[in-house]
Amino acid sequence: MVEPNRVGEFPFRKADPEKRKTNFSEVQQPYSEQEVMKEAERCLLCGTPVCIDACPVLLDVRGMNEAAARGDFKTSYERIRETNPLLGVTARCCPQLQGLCEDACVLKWSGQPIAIGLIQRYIADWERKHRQPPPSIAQDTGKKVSVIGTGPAGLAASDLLRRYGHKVTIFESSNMAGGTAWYGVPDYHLPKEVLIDEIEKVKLIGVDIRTNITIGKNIPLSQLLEENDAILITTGSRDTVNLDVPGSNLKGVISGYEFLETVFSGGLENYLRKPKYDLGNDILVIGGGDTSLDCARTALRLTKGKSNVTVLCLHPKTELHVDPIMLQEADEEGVKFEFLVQAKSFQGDRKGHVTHAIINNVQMVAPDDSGKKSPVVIPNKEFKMKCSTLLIAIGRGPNSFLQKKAGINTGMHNAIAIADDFKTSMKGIFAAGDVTSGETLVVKAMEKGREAAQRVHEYLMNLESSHVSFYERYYTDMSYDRMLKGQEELSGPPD
Amino acid sequence: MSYEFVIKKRPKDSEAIIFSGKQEIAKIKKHEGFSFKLIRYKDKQEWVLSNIVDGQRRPFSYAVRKAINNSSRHETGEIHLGEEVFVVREQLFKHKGKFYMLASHPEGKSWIDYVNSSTRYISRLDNFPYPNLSDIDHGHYTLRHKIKRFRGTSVGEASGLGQHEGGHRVRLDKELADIGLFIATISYLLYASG
Repeated sequence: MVEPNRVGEFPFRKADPEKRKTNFSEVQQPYSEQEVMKEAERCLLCGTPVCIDACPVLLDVRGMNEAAARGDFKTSYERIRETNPLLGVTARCCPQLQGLCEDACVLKWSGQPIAIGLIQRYIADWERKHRQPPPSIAQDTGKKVSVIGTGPAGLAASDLLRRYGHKVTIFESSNMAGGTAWYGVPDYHLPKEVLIDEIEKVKLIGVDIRTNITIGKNIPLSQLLEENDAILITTGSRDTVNLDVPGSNLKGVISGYEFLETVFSGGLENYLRKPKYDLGNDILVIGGGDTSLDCARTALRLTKGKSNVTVLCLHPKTELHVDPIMLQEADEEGVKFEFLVQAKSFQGDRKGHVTHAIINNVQMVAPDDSGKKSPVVIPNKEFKMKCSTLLIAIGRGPNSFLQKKAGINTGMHNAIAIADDFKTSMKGIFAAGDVTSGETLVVKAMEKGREAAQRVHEYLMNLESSHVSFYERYYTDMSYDRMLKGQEELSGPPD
Repeated sequence: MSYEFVIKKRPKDSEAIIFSGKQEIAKIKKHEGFSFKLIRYKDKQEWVLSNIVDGQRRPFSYAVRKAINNSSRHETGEIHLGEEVFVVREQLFKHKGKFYMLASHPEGKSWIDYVNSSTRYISRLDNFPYPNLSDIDHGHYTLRHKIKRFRGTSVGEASGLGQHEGGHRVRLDKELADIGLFIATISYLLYASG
């Protein structure tokens, strides 16, 4: 199926919904080499590149397009690898048209922004077939840093810290690196070989990743601090928000996050060989965010496209906090939606397994002068829905384990409290990413990981007083002239 | 009643003319460093726009400072900057106690319309939970992502690229009329200068 020109001059191709809902093969289809070159040629090479401004990691979109238009994919790759070690991941996971690069592209005024995500994806995939040398690494500083958590924030931070010349070890509590990108993003959206390859490249520059080690349990944080010059905590989001309604403890009522982790964390193929869940034919998902869509579409695929899957959303369709492209894809695959509804209770059979959900209809009203709307149940309008499995995905807060264990100061929802320089309340310990803010995008977590890495580096090298933000440096360095001349002297890390 | 401005990139790449109706009312010129100058024709009032806001250079941000007329300026070419009269910080601004967002998506409009549309809205955020723009960083590190999900009431629209024949058009409701010139200038500089 071809979606007519969502971006760019070429169709945005997707796999056929009837076929793709029965398996986990990638939905989004790539551009060809010719399409990439033609599309990159459309780039205006703006003197004020809003696309770069809109990218949390300041990916050199303009430079990428300039080189790709000439067919110089090597230079294109080098330019974007400079600030983004997870190129293939972000090309697939970023909602480019929602507040990021494609949304900002000036050509959106004429309705056809540059297909930046598809160009980036091509370059990342090209590099997997035409291996390029790793980015430059500064001279060894003799400093040791441990990073806790191998999600996008931890990986981006570790990559940059290593490039600064520090010895970097990352500790990961699960058996696979990648964090949410590994266990929380389904394979049809992000094929895991892409992530594995990019993690391997981080290891290739000398980052040591140690899995199955939980800091605070297997190794005390205090011991780690003694053995290192600095610590960076990037343990992400983990603490799920629970739904407290009668029947929540029935069998078959499952946390959507736990569901995704069970399916993907050990590798999809392993799960399919020995599935844990018998989902049945009538699957309900309670949520309204991206994870609820992931749960719905994963459940549909696990039942070979045969089950009835319905997502129950509290908000109206126009106000949903989801990537609209993902919503459209779910709709194409036959996932149903009920909007302005709220679970009242769940009913089960004699074996204690869920069989039905009682649902309230709600309306959004503004009860006070603040204008903030809240859901109010409409009396006598409840209805019953049959369900064999109920997946709950109503939000996650920061992973609170380590900060509680170690006594690090926290803020809202047990997020680690940090100052502007990413320092926590404990000397020598920094934190970044979802563990400080709650759940966010992959690329936003990377942004904070990189910024924190810069601060850790300045702390280690006594450069704190001369801090210059990445944005300031990028803006004032005027890489535009350098790009036009075609002279690349990327001889060191961003500093 | 609404107010419309059209900004066209000319004569040089670093300059633009601002129209109200068919009348030229102001000009944007490149200034020192990375700043711009806005010159209003009717009274020759000048302002300097810089993307250094709250102490640091920020994307999607501009601070507008009044240029003070200085009798010695002709000799030295120097401009003294007065008070900050308007600020957009990462697409948000505050005016008469209310918050607004540039390039927003109003309540009630489907997000897929936003994705497919070439119009950007300026919305009044009636439920904005922060008292000041500078407070946003502290509790909301996911600014660019979550802020974009604040919906509001449309009070203006922007469309078009400055270098195209029709120029960059900014239409505003009456409540933003007194800062319309600043909004139009910043909308052009942020999104449509190419």
